[in-house]
Amino acid sequence: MKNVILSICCLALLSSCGDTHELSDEGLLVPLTVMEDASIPSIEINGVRLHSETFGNPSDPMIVVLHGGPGADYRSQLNFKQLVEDDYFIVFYDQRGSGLSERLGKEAYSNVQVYIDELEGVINYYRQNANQKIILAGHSWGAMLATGYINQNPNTIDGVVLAEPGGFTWDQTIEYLSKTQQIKLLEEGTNDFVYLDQFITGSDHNTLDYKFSLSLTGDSNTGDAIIPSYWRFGAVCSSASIELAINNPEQLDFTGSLKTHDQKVLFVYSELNESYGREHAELVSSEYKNVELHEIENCGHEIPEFGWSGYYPIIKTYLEEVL
Amino acid sequence: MKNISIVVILLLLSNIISAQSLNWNSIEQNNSSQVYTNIGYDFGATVQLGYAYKLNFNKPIVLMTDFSIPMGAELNDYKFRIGAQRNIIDRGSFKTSVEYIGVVRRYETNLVRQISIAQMMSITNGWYKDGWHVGIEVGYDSSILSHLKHTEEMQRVYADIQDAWFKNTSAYWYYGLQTSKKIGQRLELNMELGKTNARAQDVDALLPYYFNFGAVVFLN
Repeated sequence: MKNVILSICCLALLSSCGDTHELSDEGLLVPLTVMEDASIPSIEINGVRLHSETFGNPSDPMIVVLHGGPGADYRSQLNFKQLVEDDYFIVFYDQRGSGLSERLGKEAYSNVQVYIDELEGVINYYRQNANQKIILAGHSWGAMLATGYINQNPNTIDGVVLAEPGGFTWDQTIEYLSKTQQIKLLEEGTNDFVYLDQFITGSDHNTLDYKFSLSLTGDSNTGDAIIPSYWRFGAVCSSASIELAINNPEQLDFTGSLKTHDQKVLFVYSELNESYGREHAELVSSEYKNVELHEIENCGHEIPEFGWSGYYPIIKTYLEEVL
Repeated sequence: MKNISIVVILLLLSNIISAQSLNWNSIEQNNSSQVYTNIGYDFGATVQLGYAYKLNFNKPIVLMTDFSIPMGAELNDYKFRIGAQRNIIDRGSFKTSVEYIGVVRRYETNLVRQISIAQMMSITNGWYKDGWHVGIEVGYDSSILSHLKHTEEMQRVYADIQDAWFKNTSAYWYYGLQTSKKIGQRLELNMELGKTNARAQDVDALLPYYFNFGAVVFLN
């Protein structure tokens, strides 16, 4: 009983002293974004401030790297910097509401077109002249976004490097997601995911982004033993985009004009992601007319980070061929 | 005055808890001690074991404590509750009871260990007969204070992440139906089904529902 009373006294003291914080306090649980920290490199595209960096000679062929999610960021894509040695200009950016980019309300993700327009804005921001070669390198959702752009602008992109896009139609995407998101109520991983809801509730971006990061325990069946690198997940971006896809599945169909894109596309999938596999890779990649398909060994879904040693030489060879 | 003192002490001691579905007719007619168990969904598939004790005043107070864990391979998550229920309105078969529970809950993954001190308050209106009852429950659960300690894996994501105490980390309303049916002299089966809503503009839980199926054994 003494211990209980002592605990309550400690609790009362802690509650009243200045050492307690709010989950929403800036910088305590998630890093600051470009809106709070002016030292973070950024650009403004379509009225939204994006975390963005470039490496290499700006007049070299430009590779725009598109991260996954929606809601993830380009920290796990940084291996692409190695292509600077091969005389490419590498452009990274965190999509709206993701990583260290500006946070927005859910209305900012009301259609897929905002992502495509944002990508076009980034290309135009960095492009030196109309003759500069442009390559899109997308991972997962980023590969879907790249395809969405190409579907609207076939034959304007000189090279396309795609790693495990969920699908180019909603049916393909939901088929893949249903394999990766299997809920098993009696397993630790599932309960860790839902049990957290009684510990943290919130409506501000700091709290929601932090809570989202705690759900990334690495307990997935995409073949990755550890959690990929990231700075800060965009929880509102992620949930609003999923809502958008469920309510407007036709917007996730990127195949209308895809067959008119003539250039060869590099498409890779991982050896260890059992939810994907060659069969799904063949199904999705067949939406393109001209595809070079490769399996990347000894890695799961996070190919750009954990499968880079196998991925890099394939990219290099492909780019030498198509440019 | 003595009754009030006990309630005040209980309120001070119990920082966090959740409701136990009680048939006040059974409580008033039966013995002082009971053990209860529940299985269901309460922010995860959970199992719960508890003990309740009736204090006989002009209106009885039921003290209770229980422990629940979510299903899974590791016993690093749990919820411990201690509190009291009291019948405050008694008009024949219609009764109204209030409950205050203190809760300590723990959550641990490869990223964080969180311990929360919380409280639950609820009111239940019900129709209570000798062998059964139905009731409507409305309650509020809020985390008063939580301590977050992050693992090296989380520190690799964000090197400046803080291990610290945080206040008001969660709150949600819960409301639902409860019912019970007595089987013989010593056993009662009960069931709860309800929904949760996070406070104000907070984002709701992924699965904002709870469901419990339980049994109460009257001991002596």
